[in-house]
Amino acid sequence: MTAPSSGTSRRSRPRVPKGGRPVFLDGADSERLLSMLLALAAEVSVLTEEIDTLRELLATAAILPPDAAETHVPSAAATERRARRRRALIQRMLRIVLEDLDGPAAERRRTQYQALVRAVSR
Amino acid sequence: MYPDTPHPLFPRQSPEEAARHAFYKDLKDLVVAEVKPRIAEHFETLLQPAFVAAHGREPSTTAEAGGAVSCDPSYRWYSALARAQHELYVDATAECVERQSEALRERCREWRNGGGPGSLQLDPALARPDYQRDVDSHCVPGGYFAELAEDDVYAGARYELGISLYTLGRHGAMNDSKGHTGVEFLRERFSQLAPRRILDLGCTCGNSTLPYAEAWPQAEVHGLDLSAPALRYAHARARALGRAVHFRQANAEATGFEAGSFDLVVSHILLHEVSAGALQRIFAECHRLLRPGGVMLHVEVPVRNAQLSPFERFMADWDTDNNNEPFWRALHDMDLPAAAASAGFAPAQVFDTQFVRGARAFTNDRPWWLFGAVRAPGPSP
Repeated sequence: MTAPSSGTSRRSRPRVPKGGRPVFLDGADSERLLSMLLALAAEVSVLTEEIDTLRELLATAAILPPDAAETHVPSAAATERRARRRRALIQRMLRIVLEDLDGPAAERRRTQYQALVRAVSR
Repeated sequence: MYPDTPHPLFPRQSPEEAARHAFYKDLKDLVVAEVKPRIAEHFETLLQPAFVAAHGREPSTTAEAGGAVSCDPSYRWYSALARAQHELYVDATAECVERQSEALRERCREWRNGGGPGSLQLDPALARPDYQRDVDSHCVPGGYFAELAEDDVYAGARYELGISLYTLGRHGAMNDSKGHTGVEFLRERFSQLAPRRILDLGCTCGNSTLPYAEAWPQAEVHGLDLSAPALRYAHARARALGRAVHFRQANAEATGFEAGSFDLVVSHILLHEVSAGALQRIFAECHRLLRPGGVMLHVEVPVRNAQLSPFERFMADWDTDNNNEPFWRALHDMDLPAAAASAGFAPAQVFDTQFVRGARAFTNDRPWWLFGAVRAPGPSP
């Protein structure tokens, strides 16, 4: 790989290595999902450390005691807000499962759709 | 920014980046410590007995052992996790270094232009041999050669940060345990050796080179590599650490140095990243470069297939097909004493050993493999 000549802007780093990619699970899609899941877990870990940093800073600055989060009792409004967000997160995560869990129904919807394609094409 | 870095040019990690890298490091640690051992357990308790029941004998070849193991969930999940973790950690460290690559380039330039010990000699016309041109070693995009601008150090700096995570820090904060192992071995085995001129082949960032400069401060130390960004980084790094090393961009198969001009020629995890033909030519070049009585020493990943069971060979071979290490298997099958003899080294002068009191290689937690020879008097073949 040659570098850009003097005077041109920096270019972005290469993203994909030569050599292709082996597949170990039951298909390339499973490998992709695994990679996405691990990347997401890494970001959860990063967020957790940031929260820990904030707690430590707040405690060091004597703004809040170290156990403030543990002893905090959320207000009724906060409780309701958290419950809504929690359920929304779970529903977003489970959407694909809830949609496709009923196998025969999902198959019927596909069949109906394919029939529609044929109908509008005549 | 985290202030704790092993040396002034070590890539800096923001708290977010450090947290991300720590996650990927711990993920690898757990995958290796808790998932990988299940493969051997399953082999012993399920897979080998099943093979014996089907064939009336144990697996006798690597392929047979691999066939018994590779469909098992323990192997599939270890491999999928290891490969996914590897790609994610490479990407994370690459992003971290890309963020600061302009600043690193400028700081390395300041060290280069500001005078100091050692030197840097690059060769823009140097052709890259196929075994490094056609592969991105370790699945790192761009391999050892990626440059994002003129005079760049990107690939070298990413290597420095990456290797410390790849090895889970087990090769030392300065990533120099291989070099220290070489020095300790030489002091014990060749206690009379007082090298005046030392050459490290395939030196990348110079992390294995500096222990030799430290051990023999009166010696003239040279580091050689194919990669310009790695050498620019290595040169600045050595100056920042107060060590005199002369870095040259050249091919270890044909270095351009005078015959008989070195007392000690070393390499560290170079051999498994060349080719069979190149290795032969590198040994011949070592013979040509050494004065009579000089020593050739190659510190390598401690895998010798002849010493392993079929199952162990199959597991040791993982990097060939899954970590962009195309020469890994072939090197571990190779008759290196024969290659040294073909290069002109007398068989009685060859050593092929492990330094059991030294540091251990991350890949299998075994002592580093040390292969080399003493140059007897007489011309090169």
